[in-house]
Amino acid sequence: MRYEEVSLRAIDFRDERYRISRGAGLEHLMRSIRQEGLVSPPVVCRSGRRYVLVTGWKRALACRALGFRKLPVLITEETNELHLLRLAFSENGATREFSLLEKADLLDKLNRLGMSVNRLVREYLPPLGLPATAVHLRMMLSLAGAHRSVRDFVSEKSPSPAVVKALLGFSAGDRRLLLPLLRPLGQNKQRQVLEDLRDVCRRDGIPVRRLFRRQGFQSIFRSSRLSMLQKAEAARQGLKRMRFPALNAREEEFRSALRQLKWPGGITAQPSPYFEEDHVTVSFRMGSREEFRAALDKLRDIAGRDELDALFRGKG
Amino acid sequence: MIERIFVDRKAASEPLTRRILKNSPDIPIEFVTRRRPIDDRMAAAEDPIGEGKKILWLTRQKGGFVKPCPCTPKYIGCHYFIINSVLNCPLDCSYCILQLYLGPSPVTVFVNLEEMRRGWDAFIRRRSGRFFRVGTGELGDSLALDPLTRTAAEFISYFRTRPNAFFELKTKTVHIQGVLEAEPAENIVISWSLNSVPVARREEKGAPSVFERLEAAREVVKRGFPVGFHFDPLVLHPGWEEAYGRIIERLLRMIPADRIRWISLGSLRFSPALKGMIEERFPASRLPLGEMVPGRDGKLRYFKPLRLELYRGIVTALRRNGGEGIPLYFCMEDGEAWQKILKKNPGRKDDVERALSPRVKGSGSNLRLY
Repeated sequence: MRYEEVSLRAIDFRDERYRISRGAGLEHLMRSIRQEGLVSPPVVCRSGRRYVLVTGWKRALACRALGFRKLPVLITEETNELHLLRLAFSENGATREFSLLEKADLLDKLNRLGMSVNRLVREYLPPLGLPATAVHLRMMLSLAGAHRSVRDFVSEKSPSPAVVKALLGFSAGDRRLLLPLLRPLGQNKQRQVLEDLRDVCRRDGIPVRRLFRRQGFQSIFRSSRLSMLQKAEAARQGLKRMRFPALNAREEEFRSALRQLKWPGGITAQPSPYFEEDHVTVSFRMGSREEFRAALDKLRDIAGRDELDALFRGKG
Repeated sequence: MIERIFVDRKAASEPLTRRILKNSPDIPIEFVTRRRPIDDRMAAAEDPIGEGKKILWLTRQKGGFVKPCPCTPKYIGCHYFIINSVLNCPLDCSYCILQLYLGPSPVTVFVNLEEMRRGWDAFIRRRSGRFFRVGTGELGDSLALDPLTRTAAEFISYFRTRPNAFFELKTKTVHIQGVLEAEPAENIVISWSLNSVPVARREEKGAPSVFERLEAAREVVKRGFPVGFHFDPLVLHPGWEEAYGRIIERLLRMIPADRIRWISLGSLRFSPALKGMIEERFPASRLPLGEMVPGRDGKLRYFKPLRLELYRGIVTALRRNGGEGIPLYFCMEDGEAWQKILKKNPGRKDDVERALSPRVKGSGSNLRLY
């Protein structure tokens, strides 16, 4: 490679074929370059009369933003696009973690340059921290080709691969319906919404659009009282009830029994997780003997009532 | 269907290796010193687990010839022991735990039979005077490879002279030729996994129909062997009660109840990781759509009232069709299920073992699960 200073105008910034870094925010880099100069020159290759950036995209953009006219670069004579992309991958990968979107784009570029699925799965997925399976490769390629709204969501929210995979399982149209619902939620809830929705639609044989046209969902989506977070949460709860109808009925039965018993505040009655075990845990706090006695008196009163049995007896 | 055989050079001279190769004249064979070529082949496949099921790997087992069945934490086990003469299975059932447990793995036959027999001898000596149940069908299908290995008859002839062992060959196949050629004994149980017709058809890729399995069981009973059945995994699906009822009716019409050593019941269960695998490998499967929630061991199971309803339906069908006296047990269930459905609470796995072992005259046990 040959060191040279080339005009920034000679660099074709529209040609992103070797670009891997997508992260925004050049401020730190610009400050560093302003103070110390450009320590490590980007690598470029020739493309006709101009140059294409192979590595150092952020550095070149920072220099441009700082008003540099010339950019110190290393010019490679390599012309094989696959080799150049691998160079970009090696240099970037040696210094930082790739985001999921960057990984997707890299795999997509390698794929477009003719690298076989087998090689991509075996040689590229493991160093990218992805399971070496064709299914994961397909998911990444699908992410690379996804609509901008999905890519923006992944870029902004950094969802887990499981969430991305579940989201990409829906049609492009359904994804657009889902994204506003997912944005306010945390990752676990995002995943739960996607999985419950997918399962309900498959189980009942109805498309997402028709499900969301139902009265319950429409009243959530059209509500002017609810914030986006509240809407997302209400939709999540609604989906969970549809996905687990028997569990939901038992939970409602349990809550209803507590209401009938006028269960005292400050004492909690908790069924075993998912009612898997046949017991209820009662707990309360006390700061004195008197408080302890008062709680026991309330429980003794409840113990004498017939409605108590409903806490233990599910319909099963 | 096995498409290629890899032979570990260290196992090439074993008699069982030679027999398998002789019985597979049309299958390409490679002799290798390491497993690497097999792993490469699986890794290169679109479906590495499915690819593993097409590869037969003949090698030596290094130890642990008999192991306790791992069961699952926090549920009642049945004190079963397993012989891992085979690992993995050429059938491809969507719900199979081996996909997760073994990962991408060839169908492996351990060919050092002499060494294995010495291991079994040592195990049996340690348990002398106590009944125990042991089988080869936990990490593979006991008979799926028998047309190639012809080991069933050998195993039977070994165990028929060890009367404190109940030896079970558990299968979904109809490869019973080797069994029919062996001398029957009351402590040798040939058992079949059964399911409703729609579940078997949709979820048990490569397995014969349930009716063919029942026909095979009838042949085996006619030959003089006792049999067992495993309704596992029981699956809730539209019309499940009628569908299972029909199979149970047919089963008890074809097989005399007093020749059925045991029937086990286990509802569909899988870890969250296996659920993901089923969704990936079997996108048309409806199993992950059931109302399943995490159990005490972290595995997903049907919500308990649904599960109990399922068991109740099966047990009622068994009783209605003349199966009152057949010992039933649960696989990986808790005391509540035992108590509510079978009206017994074995408490410990030893109790299950005792209840299942004694149906041979003179065994000395009077425990019954019914």
